[in-house]
Amino acid sequence: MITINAISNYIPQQSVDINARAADVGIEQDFINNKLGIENLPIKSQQQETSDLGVEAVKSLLESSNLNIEDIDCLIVCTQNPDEYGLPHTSAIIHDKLGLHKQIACFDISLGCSGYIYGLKVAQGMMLANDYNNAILVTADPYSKIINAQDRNTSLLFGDAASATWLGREGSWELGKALLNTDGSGHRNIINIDQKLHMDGRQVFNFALTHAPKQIIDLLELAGYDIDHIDRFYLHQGSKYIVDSIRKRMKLAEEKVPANINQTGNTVSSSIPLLLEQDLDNPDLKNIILCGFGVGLSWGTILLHRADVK
Amino acid sequence: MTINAEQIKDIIKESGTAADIENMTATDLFADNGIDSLDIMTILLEVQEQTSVKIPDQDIDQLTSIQAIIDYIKSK
Repeated sequence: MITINAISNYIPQQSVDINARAADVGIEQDFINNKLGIENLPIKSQQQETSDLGVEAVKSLLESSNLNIEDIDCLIVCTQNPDEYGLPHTSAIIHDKLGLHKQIACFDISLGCSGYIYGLKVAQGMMLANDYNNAILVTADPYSKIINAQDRNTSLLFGDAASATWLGREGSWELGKALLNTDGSGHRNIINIDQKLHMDGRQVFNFALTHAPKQIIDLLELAGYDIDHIDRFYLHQGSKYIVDSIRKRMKLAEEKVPANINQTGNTVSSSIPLLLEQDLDNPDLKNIILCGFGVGLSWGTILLHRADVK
Repeated sequence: MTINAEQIKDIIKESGTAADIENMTATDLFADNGIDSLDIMTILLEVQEQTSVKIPDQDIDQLTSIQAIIDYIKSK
């Protein structure tokens, strides 16, 4: 059994001046409040690198849990905005900054908003294949590196953050079945061209509304669960509008679909662990769904079960 | 393939927009009735799914009213 034992996050203190940026690109406050749902957009400092965000998240994890730094077998970093253009891999830089021992596997995975789901399954596979006891999955994808402040499609959507998830053998949440899918024909719908993010909002919206609900239903069928058996649905926080639209399309109760995009914006692969951290110790939750969708186009859904309840 | 005004009004209602659908005529512009670009994305996704007509991005700007959608779908 592979479990999620603990999650910690790092959110930069500094924030984008939302009103000034909205005025720049001609977006009205009502649209920001009701459709984008943004009240705060954290942004890293100029001096901070992607690895620094990851380091802060891992430090927080080590401080808040009983994981010993010597017991880490594997460190996986999910990012598409790495340090140094990806060479070397950011996980190696985090390894250095944390002073980790050498008997440890470190590597990066390149995925966007589905990255947390994929990362959990990659970590699970590594642990089972190599008899590892402890892995850390870091998500750190600061889009501020590639945001064009004049682009009204994206400039008020993304925030910077990082997460660190401790995967072990005896934690409270067991990783269950997952579905991982790709439609490469849509790869240009979210793309970095000349170090600037370009996004076809309508195509991404259509993709999310069409594929995420279906994948959730397919996974529930595969795992033999009824939708009423699921206590919470943690959806990637693409935008308030996307989350609300998926929830309505699936006819899910509002209290079953947590949201925090107002405080962080879309933090890419960190959005789900940011949400999940708040509920990890909630004893009322027995079976939950995580669903991420975005860059690729790529989407993934996983079931988590409270380890002491089946 | 066809779609009628009532079907489109039902889709608009389902989209959750605050617009006053009952008093909207087929030729009223969406933008004049508080239906914004995100609402239009939702409405057109539903129209696509109900009619099986794929609406490319470059055609979106002309779909500014119920009548415009009816005419567009009829032409496909």
